[in-house]
Amino acid sequence: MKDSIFEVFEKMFFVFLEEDENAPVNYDMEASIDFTSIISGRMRLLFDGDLIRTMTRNMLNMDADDDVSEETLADCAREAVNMVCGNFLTKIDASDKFSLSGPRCMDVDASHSFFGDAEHRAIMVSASGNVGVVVDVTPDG
Amino acid sequence: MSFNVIVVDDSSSMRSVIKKIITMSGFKMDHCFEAGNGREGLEVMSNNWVDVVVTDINMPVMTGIEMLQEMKKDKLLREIPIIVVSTEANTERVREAIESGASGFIKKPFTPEECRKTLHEVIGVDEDGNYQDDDEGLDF
Repeated sequence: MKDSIFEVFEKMFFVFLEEDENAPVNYDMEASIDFTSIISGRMRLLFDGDLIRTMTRNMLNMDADDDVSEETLADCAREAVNMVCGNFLTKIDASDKFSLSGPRCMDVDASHSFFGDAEHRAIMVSASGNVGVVVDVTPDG
Repeated sequence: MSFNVIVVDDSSSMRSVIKKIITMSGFKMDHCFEAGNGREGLEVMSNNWVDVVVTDINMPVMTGIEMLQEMKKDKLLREIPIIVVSTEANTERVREAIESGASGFIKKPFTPEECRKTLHEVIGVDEDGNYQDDDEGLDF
C-alpha cells in the first residue's frame, strides 16, 4: 500500500512523502473509495489543507498564489484516492477484475475519527503537509 | 507534424493533468479537445478532426468502453486510434479495452515518457513524431 501512495503522489502530484507514525494527526479533507477484489473494503485518504492545495496546484500547473476552488480540491482528492486504490489493487491482484466505486470526498475536522481502530493505516509527511491512509477491510471480504 | 488530441474524462482535474503530461512529454500536439464523458466525446469528434483519443473508462452518461463501441460503428471514427487511461490496469480490464477496439492502454499514474511512447505507438510515428513510412509515401 505504501509503495502505491509514494508512486501516485510522486508521479501525479509531484509530492515526495515519507512515513512518520509520530507526525501530528490533524486533517481537513477525507477522500474514500470502496473496492472489491480478493479482499474488499474501503480506502480512505486524509489530507491536511496545505497538502491538498499543493497537490492540486502541482497537478494543474497553477502558481502558488492562484486561488483553488473547493470543488477543484475535492476533485483532486477523489482522483488521488482512485489512483492509489487502483494501483494498490493492481499490485496485490493483477490477474483479477477488481472493481472500484465512485470516489467520494468530504471536509473533516478534529472531531472526526480519523483512524478509529483501523488495523491497516499509515501516516505520511512531506514538505507540503501530511496525509493519512486507512484501509478498512470488510470481514470475510 | 502535429496532432489533435481529445481527452475524455469526467474529472476536470484529470483532463488538465493528462493535457499537462502530454505537453510535458514533448508529443507534438496541435489542439487538445476535452469531453466529460463518452457522449460528449462523440459529439466533439463529429465536429472536429481528431488524430488520437485518450479516454478514461468509468464515466457517467457513457463510459469509455461504450464510446469505443460506438466509434467502431462509424466509418470515419473507427479509424481513430484510442488510448484507454485507467487506474484499473489489470489483465481483465486491458483485455476488455483491447477487444472493444482500444489501440493502447496507460495505467494511472503515468510518466510523460510512458505517455509519449504510447501516443507514438498507436499513431504509428517515430520518436520525432514523423510517420514511419514518410520517405516511401511522397513519390508522386
